[in-house]
Amino acid sequence: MTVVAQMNLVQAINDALKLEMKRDPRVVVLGEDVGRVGGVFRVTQGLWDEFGDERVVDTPLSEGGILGTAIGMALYGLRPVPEIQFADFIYPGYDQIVSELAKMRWRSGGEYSAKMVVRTPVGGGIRGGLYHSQSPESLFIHVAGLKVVCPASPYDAKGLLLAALRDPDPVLFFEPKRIYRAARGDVPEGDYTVELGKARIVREADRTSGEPAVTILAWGAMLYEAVAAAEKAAEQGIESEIVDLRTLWPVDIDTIAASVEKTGRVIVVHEAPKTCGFGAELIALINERCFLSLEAPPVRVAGFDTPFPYTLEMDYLPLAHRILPAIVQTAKY
Amino acid sequence: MRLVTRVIVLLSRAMQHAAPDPSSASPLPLSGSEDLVRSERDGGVGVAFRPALDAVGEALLRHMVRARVVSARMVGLQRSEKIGYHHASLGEEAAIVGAVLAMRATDWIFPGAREWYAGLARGLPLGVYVHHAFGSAEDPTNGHAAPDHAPARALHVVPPSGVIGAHLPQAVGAAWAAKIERANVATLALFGAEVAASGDFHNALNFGGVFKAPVVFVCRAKPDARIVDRAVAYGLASARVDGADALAVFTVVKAALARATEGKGPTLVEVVSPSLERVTAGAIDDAALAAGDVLDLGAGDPVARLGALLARENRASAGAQKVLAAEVMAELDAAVLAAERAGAPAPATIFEHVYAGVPAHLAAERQRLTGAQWDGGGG
Repeated sequence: MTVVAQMNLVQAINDALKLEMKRDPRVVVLGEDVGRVGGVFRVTQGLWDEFGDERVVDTPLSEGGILGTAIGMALYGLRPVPEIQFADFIYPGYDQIVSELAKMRWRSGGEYSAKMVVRTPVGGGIRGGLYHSQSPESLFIHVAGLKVVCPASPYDAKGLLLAALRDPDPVLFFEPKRIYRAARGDVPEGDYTVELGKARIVREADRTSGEPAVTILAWGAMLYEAVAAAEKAAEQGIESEIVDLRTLWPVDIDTIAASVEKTGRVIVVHEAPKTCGFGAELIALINERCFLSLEAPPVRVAGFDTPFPYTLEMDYLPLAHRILPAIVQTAKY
Repeated sequence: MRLVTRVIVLLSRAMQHAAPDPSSASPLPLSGSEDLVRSERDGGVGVAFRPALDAVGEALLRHMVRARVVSARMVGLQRSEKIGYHHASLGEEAAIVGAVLAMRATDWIFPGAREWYAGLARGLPLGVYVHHAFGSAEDPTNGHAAPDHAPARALHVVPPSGVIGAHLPQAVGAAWAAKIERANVATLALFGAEVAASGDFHNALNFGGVFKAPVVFVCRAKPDARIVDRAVAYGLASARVDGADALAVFTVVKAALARATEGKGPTLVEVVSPSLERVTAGAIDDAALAAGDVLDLGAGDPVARLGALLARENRASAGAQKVLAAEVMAELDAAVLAAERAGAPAPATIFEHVYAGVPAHLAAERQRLTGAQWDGGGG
């Protein structure tokens, strides 16, 4: 019988890193203060003590340097896991990700690949202001050659990270920092993976009543807001089916399409600005796949097309109180 | 060996924390325009030393002649629009060939596009290089990468990036990985002086210095660039070498490699490239090439200089170089013909190697592309 422990997201990710570092000597963690300090959010706590300073490396403060050298390590055959302290700081290393990491396999005709998992916290709601709150997933989904993952539960965080570490392609692993400690759940001890590219139905819509139902697509911290809004909507007799995308790219369009065909209505929730956010792509894909099933215009409940505000962050975020009216309006359309 | 040791001493003097041994320290300066490292055999002035020639001189010359002829031919193919473009390396042969041959076969090379000859120097067949330049069906990258960006993984040569300088921190990372793995492997990063303006240059020298990665940076520069002065800020050893003097480049890079493998960290080598009159004037044309007249492009030509040196020492003859050039030309003719005959890669290859597998969305796009061609009735 699998032993199960209660963990939060930080503990689950730490557990996965520890497990894989034991299993695979090629895995090397590097980043700013990931060693002795254990990372700004303590996600890598204890790794330095266990694996030493050659496998858990404190680097100079330069994301371009961290990612550039990590690519070289990966070319050589290691499995680096660079941590970018906040996703907001990934841009100095963006060129290494876009021009090098994502294209290495393609431009070398498959001779070389640079396998790594780039871990970085995303999202707002922690009083972090505009440089500690961003959700840049669509900037990476748009780049061919990358996979993008964003877990919402501790169980998925561990299983997805283990799968990401063993996947042959480079993976951006976005960790929703607002729920780093708030999200708690059962996590099995030992080895298991959650397959990349598979969404999860978190809440199923009951269509037996004949009342209108909506599909809500969400990931990361906003999944919990979607669930809260769906519970309120249920009190008004509106059924919601919630899909946690888990892997943002390649996206599980089959699960999404099946749900939208069932409900005929869809709402996408994300923290990133609305324009050219991943919601735009999701809705385009839904239009391509299930246009004739739609009974209402697809809706996006997203961050505003502004930088992320410090004081008014709870007004910026697409929280449950903003999702609920969208559910009601879409259901009644 | 004593000569190599002496160069190491020269190199180590650039390290601020290195205490020079008064009995062996070189009296020669490491700053100022007169400090170029040159080989005495080549009749140069400056920081002169007498390198061992043995088989190295001949191997250097053979590769330099080959690099010269191939580049001259590629310039012509670009002019006639048979290939998209070519990063001409005329006059840079001593820097590129000298540095690559100084490394061991197990060391990794990170060239820029202009150092495309690195792969050929390691043994990449000329035919493969030409297929790649044409982006043919037999290009190892499936026509994905533009000319002069070929990979040669079996030879530990990483494909150049189109982003100037992006490969520098990668060379540090690979060297650092080798160090972690306790492998006796060093890396060589080749680049032009323009890279010294980039953030990647700073990141590479900084990370390389901090982690004492076994990496050798070789920068080709014009005489007034003085990139070498940056080394001291990162605690790296450095040297400035005459780029017309292949033996000097070879010896200095060998010394830098020795430092790297001894755990002493990176060295920044600046190779001062010659400005060749006939290159500046654009006077390299197919007629000159056909006549075999590309082995002396003006004063300071590294190919001509090494050729003359070896001839003086009865190790080579001008006639032998012409014969070699003609052989390379014949090899090129056959390679160009083969590349033209091979045609373009199949359209479906666009979707290969984006990921390790072909995800559903790419399979669908591939189907649309190849299906549309069938629908078009052979268009």
